[in-house]
Amino acid sequence: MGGRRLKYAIAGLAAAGWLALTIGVHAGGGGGDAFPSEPLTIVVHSKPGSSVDLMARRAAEIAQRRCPVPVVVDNRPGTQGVAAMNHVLDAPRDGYTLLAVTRAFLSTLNVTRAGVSVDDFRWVARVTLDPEAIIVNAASATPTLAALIADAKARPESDPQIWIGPGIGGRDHLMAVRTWAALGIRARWIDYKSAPQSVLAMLRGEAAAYVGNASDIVGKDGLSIAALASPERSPALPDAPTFREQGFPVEAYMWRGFAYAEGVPDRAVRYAADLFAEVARDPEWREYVASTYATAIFDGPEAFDALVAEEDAETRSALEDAGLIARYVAEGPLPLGLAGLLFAALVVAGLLALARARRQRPPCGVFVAAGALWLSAFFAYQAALFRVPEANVTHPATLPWLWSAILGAASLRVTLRAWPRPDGDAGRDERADTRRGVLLVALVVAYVAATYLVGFLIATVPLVMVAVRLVGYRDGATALAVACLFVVAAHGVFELALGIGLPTGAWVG
Amino acid sequence: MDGFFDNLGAGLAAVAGVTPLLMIAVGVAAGIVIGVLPGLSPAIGVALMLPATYGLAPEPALMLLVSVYLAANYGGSITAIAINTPGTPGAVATTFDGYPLTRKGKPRLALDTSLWASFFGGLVGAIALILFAVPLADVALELSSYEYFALAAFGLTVIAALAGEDPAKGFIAAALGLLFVTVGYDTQLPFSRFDLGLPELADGIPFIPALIGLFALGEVFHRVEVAGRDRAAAAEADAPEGADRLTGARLWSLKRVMLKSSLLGTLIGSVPGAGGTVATFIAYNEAKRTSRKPEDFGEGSLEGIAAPESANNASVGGALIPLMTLGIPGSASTAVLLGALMIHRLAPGPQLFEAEPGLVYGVFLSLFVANAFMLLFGRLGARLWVRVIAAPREILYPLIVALSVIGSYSVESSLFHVALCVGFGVLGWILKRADYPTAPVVLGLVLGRMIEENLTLSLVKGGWAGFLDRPVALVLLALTVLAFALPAVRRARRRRDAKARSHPAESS
Repeated sequence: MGGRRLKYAIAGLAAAGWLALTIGVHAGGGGGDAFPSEPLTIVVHSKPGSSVDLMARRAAEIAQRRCPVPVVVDNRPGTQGVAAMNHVLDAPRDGYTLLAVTRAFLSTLNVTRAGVSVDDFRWVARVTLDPEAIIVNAASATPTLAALIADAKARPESDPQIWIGPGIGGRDHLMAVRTWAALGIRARWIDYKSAPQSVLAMLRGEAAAYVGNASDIVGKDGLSIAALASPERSPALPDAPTFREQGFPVEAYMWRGFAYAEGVPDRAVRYAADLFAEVARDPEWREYVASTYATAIFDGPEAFDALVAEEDAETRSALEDAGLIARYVAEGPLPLGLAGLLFAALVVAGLLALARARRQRPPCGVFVAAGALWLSAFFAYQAALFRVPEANVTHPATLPWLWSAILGAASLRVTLRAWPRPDGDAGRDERADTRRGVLLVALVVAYVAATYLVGFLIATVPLVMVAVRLVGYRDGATALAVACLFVVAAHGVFELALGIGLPTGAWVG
Repeated sequence: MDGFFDNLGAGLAAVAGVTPLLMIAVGVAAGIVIGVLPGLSPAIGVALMLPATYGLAPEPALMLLVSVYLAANYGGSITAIAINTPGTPGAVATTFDGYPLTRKGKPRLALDTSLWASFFGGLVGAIALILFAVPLADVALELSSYEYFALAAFGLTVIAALAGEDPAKGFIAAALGLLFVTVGYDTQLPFSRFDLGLPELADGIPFIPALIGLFALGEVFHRVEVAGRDRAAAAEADAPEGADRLTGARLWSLKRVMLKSSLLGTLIGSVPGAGGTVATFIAYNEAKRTSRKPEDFGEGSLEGIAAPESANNASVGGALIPLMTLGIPGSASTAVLLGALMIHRLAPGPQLFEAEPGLVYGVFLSLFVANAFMLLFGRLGARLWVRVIAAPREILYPLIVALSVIGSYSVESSLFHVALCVGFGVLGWILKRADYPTAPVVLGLVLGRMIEENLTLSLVKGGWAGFLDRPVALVLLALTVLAFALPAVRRARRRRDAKARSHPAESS
């Protein structure tokens, strides 16, 4: 008896704790009239630890000392920054959500065609400048800019000089194209996917030049800078010559800064601009920026907006010149959805014919194989529509076709070989159980929808209560206690200890 | 050699102190927790802890982060064993044998094996880092896209070990995974493939939500379906727990597997762009291939737990090799560590070894201390985990669902990922129901991008002829072809033999 009462007491306490937490979290905020009265969030488009993330976190830390509310960083990686941009555009335009921006966004916005443009943002403050650098291997045949030019001009058209860096159509690629024009040479760009892989290739001497940032050479024996795209030499790298002193007027920078969504109140824009202006003057900030081989600067909203508009136009024309704004997927004979339905109909018809010929119901494994067959046809059809510029060496459909072929062949084999007879004894029993599995899937789908609408804190306890019923667990008090404790613990670990936000819910956010 | 011992001494001086030891302990504890939580990979763990180290001196800061990295790689195995949910990508292979042992009522045995294997692997990785960093870095420097492609293609041969008795089904599962990773940005042109017009898919199908769905949710759906049959089986499985502890003798019998897997883990971990997850699969495959009891694999083989866990933790030392000697981060976690070094104005590379031997060797030696703490905390934690596992399954299942939702959401704060995770959960359930292996799907997801990126890059650089100058790549590709061709030949021969004989041979 006492044990039972204790159990109810624990369940009651846990539930009370959960309710208190939920009400506390959702009723919090509100805020007064003054700006800012809530925490400022800086959204970062890459994972924690990336260079933008480090910059934003350091800026947040220094800004927080001069600001009455916390300044926090929120990582929203994905789709080359588009996920973060959309997150900021979807947030209330009340001035509490900033986006950490870099110059790389200009190419992203032009290449991805995600429906977002530079005009959707209010560019608040530009805070660092990082000159682009042409990096060479000092022990190679082309250790200087002059040697690069001579070598490129001496080569036949069939064997062009190789320049490398991460990405196609990205900022480094465009810088390379621009540099070739300024130097009057021809070369070939190869995308090495990432900065580390590019640096490795330079150390091996696989390419003539790498377009990167000055900090890429630090600590690496054998790499040096052939030309820095800044007007003057960098105090941190006194040995690195500039383009200008070698007779070419190339200037190009990577910049970083902060932006709001368009439509944020002016007083928020002013406040944030003043805050970052103070950060930019902070000696600790200047020291940090210098440690990344960049320069701390400050441009306010007017100058930054004008600069972005100008550079956006430049980027677009550079992309067009390089032939990178193109349609890569052709219009198919059938719309995609219709093609998918047609393939499905074909597969189902084939399976029915086979089942009739064999006088046997297809086993579960054959249904899966039929689904795989459909998937392979669907992918192969889409891959057939890829259009590629002539100069391209590899076709983007190559591997999808290979995998589709393997998937198609293996699933045909499973479909066409003899079907195992069902064991018989489990038959009826199994169907009843399957219903329970399907119910659980439906419950999970409802749970995800509920999480979207009312948030993790509210949705989880009902899920657990319903789900334990579904699987035949009768001790409701224990289930309630465990569910409430779990939610409170998850909130503590993720939100408080690790600083990772859990879904808050569209209705109650 | 004198210089070496001086450096080691300087390193020892850097480790021996209250602050460094405390930081290592904190790092290990945090790392285990992060590893346990599905969705939080070691790289995210290191990144999460990074801001906490801004105020520290560089030595303790790096020791803390390296400890998080090491311990998170172990922590992932705990949930893999307990609830079939790999807490980190590197723990996928640990589910193959760890979870079956738990279902047989021997979670403690599985957890202890994983802990000791991780400990051993971590030590081997650390020793290799200290003794062979420079020669191994030279190897890493020489390998390029040709070898990465060949290594990834070789990784596909692991399908055979994962497929069970029906190779065709294994190929279907692997091809599904390989096809799924072709979704998203092309490796050479700025457009995204197969995204069905959804911007969320332009970056591809995210790995961690897919992983959580396939393993954690798929298992829950499957178990709920077969719960009636399960209860009967569970009654049988309640074996006396005491008899199934990891004895010294049993641990000793794993020495070869652990050593081989640790070496593989160190080596593959040191190749920039390959990473620990690939190493775990290859180590699992090797362990099964050379085992005296290959039929136990997938049913709860201790070798099957020891191999991936040793490889996984050995890859930490391996991954630090190119980072510290060349300044090249070979994995997501080491990329964050590079950021940490830069914050403290330290540029890794040959010059760092000369300028800051205390720091470099201090960090290296801290791996030993971190391994010791990992063993200690792991022993203490095992009791707690066993108790969690002993909770009624009915109440664990809804919690696993909730944990899967958090885990898939936390990576990119995206509910789209949660939806994908549920979708993969249903896929995992259907595959299980129809007796398809799920592990090859994950193998395809892990290897597909590595295969495509490096193949296209190699072809752009020098066409197929480029492979002719790359002996290592050629050997690996030849091994790959052999590994696929041999079983087929053997099967054909067996079929002929079976036809020739009227009765199948009795085996003793």
